[in-house]
Amino acid sequence: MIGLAFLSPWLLGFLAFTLYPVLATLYYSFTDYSLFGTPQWVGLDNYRELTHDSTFVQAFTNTLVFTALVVPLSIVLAISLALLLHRPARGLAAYRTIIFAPSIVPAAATAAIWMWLLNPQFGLVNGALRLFGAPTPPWLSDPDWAKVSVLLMSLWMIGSDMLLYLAALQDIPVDYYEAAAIDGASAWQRLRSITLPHLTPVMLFQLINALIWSFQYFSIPYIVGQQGQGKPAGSLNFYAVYLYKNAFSYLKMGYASAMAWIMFIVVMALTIIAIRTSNRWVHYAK
Amino acid sequence: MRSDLDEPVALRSGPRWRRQLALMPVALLFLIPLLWMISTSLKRHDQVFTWPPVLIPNPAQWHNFLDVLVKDGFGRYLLNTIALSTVVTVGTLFSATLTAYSLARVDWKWRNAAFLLVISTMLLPDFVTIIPLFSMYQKLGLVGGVPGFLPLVLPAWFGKAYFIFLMRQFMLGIPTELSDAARMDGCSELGILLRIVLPLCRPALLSVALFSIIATWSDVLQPLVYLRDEKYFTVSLGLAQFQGRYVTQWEQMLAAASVTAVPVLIVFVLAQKKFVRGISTTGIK
Amino acid sequence: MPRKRARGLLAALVATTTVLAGCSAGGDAGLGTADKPVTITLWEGFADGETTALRDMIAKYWTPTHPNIKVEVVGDKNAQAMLTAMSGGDAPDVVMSTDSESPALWFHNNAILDLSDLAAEIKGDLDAKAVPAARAWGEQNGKVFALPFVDYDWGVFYNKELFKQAGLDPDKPPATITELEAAARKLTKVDAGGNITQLGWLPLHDEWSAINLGMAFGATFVDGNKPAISQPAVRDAITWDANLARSYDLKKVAAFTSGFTKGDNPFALGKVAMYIDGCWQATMLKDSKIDFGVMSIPASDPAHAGATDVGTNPIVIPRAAHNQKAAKEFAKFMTLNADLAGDFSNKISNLPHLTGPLTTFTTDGPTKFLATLSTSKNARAWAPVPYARMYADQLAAVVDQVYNGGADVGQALDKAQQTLTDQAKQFQ
Repeated sequence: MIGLAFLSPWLLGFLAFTLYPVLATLYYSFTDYSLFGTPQWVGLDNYRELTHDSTFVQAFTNTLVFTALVVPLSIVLAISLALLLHRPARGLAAYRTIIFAPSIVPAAATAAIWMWLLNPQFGLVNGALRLFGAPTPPWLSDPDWAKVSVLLMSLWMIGSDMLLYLAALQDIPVDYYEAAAIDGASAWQRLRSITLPHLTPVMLFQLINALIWSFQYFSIPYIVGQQGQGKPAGSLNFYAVYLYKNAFSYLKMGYASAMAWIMFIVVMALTIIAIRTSNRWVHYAK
Repeated sequence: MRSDLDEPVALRSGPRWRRQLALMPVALLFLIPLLWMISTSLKRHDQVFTWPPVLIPNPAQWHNFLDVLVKDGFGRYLLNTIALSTVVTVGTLFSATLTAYSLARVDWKWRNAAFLLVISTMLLPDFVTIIPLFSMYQKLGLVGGVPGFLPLVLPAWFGKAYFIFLMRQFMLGIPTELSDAARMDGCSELGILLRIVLPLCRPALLSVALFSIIATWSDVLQPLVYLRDEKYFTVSLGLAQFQGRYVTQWEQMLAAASVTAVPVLIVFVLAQKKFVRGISTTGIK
Repeated sequence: MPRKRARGLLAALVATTTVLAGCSAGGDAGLGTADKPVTITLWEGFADGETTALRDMIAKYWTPTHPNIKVEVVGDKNAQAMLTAMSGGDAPDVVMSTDSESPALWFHNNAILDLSDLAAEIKGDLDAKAVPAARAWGEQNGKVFALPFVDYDWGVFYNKELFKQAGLDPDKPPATITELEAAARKLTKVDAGGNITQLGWLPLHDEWSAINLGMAFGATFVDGNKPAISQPAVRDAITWDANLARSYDLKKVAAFTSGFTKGDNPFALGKVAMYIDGCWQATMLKDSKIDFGVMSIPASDPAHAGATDVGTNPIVIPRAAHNQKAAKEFAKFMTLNADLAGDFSNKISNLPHLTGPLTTFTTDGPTKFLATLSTSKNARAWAPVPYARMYADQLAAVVDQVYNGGADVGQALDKAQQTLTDQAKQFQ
């Protein structure tokens, strides 16, 4: 009962602000609905149509590929940065601020800055690579490299995730390390047996959140892919971008709702898998 | 007791210069795009696109910043956004703490189901639920004008899944023996939450507050739909105004992006000091 | 507090579910009176400066003669915000669409009013004065749902200085595709490493360049109400352009052009000698140091000379608008006032949609040329059909697949044709 009492504000909000729109979306997904007029029941037609829609399949595949890249990379990068910025050093506050700052740059600005930096001929990045005699990728003009470019942009904005690990690192009792030091554990052993296990609750959070985020990733691919066209060669046609176009450019709200529900089910399945397996790798304080 | 001054032996690794050697190149990689942004914000409009690019604009157009704050109304947008994010953040801290406590620290039958329900609310993209939500708020008369802020504020007070989940993860990391002992002493659940769990959650609360501020700062979709009057615009809406149909005023937009980031960065600098001291006052041993 | 509010919310919830859609307009305040003026809201998608210009125009031309109807202009609204607002009961009274293509879809879905009566009332004026091409965007099956308001069209911009350097006569730009190709080759420079350093002709890069080059090859895009993307004219246009680009290696061309985004115009940097763009560039380019001229798009056949797509900023009235009478009065004024059209066109680098005594319009050469071009016999609305937005996206996708994905022109067009035929069925 006490548990429910503590949960009740959220539950009220859930009933008012979430349950209704979610059910409405579910209903729309079985209808032909344009935002105007009455939705027309069409049964499973929207879902059936999606299986034949090559643009949808492309969007789905692109998003899966991007998710497979961005989720592990952002976890590894966020943890590495947090470890680097955890220990005292001269100018630590400045370093932390620099790494954190990109996460508050608006998406339109981020896209613009990186499109300049990644210009194949005149951009700073290829300029630097040329200096070291390294090969210069075509970045945004090539379908494969375009995904890498967007990946770079999202990793640049990792600062807020890094912050979570920084916060979690504060909670590790120091005596664990002292005991380990007395036992003569190496730095690597301390990392594996003390630090990382303590970070696993946050890792689970970041894992699930990154999954959801990457399926809903919209602003940057929308802008970089030139107003949602997914350029070059459809490589930036991401799930949320195509969903948005169906809803607001083509007024196919029913179709977009079906897309939303497929996304819901796929991400939910991945989330449940993550939570189910989490008791094997996530360590909570006893 | 722990602080950055009396660092335990176990945390030290190598001499200072080695640490700087690792920090500096990494920081530089993150810094260069930011410097580019600031350099562009100081350019004349016709200097923004020249190849090869101008790295250090001369003379620097410092008035771009003044124009943005005074002429383009960003001073006002900033105040609106600060007010909005304060109300949203207080609400978020309140609701996320309560709900997360229930999901992490109280044993009850439907706890796991409730947790999945909370997470599931994160799974539908905003622009799908906004249509039914809009028609609801509209019937309640909460669109446009000052009431238009309510749809942006209410969900935070009732709890947003992201923050609840985040708080839950942190609360699960706190040893249960502390609250068990307090329960033995006859402390109520609310008492345990306020006296024992919350003080231990300070880094998490700070993260939640900071994230909530960032989220309010960057949200375009909700303000675009619910705030109709320029008087009440947030900075994110103001930023969108520089993107014309044919021409984007990049130098002004980036000046605005830089200048509106300052309050968040100040909050961050203050908060990150607390991260260092963190739980040193709580004395777990 | 939570419980009481919750009950109210629940009640509202039930109410919303039952009246999910279809909000009727209530409380029309008519045309207003001297003591009780009516205020209407106008939503548009212009940026800050353009919105200010529109407010000024209304204050200058409308307000003095219409003291009883006040107009509140709300700018910077994207399609999503407009649609969300129109779907509710608190819709703006007048909406100026951000593109020419959307109103037909909105009308098909009952989001906006049928303005046929209003159009019939002013038909004489429009027939006499309005540029015919842009009116097509507001008409479907004999019904009128959108009124034209300042137009835009497209031409080929060329760099006179680069022409001179290549030994070409800047006063006699190419008029046919054959001449265009010869000039493009002369104007392209490649360095020792095979990298392009100057491009004579910017290859197709979006739906607009494809639409306009297609029109210069005689493309009609729609056959009645049916999509006809795989017609020979479209195929020939893209094939000609792609072959020219391929002769310089598509990868090299992409590396050269990819860094340039919408605002980052390689032509303004003197890196491209000729390209297709909209009339607003004639004003934008004044800021650059480029000495440029504008020509109509070189045609594959003299019969297609002067082809260009004419678009407009269509004025529509949402079905859920409160003050429909006043909104109609305002829409009528905006679409008929030639001085306002000329004045505002100057401010936002568009073209007046009304011919006749344009005392307020520019005397600037290139812009004047494009304004005249918009009245030529081959100036048309490229596809005034409800699925035009989707059509444009398919065209953009074809261009993207051909130039960035190495796809075959014919196959890409056939695939797009199939998708569009499927999608267009519901609109027949």
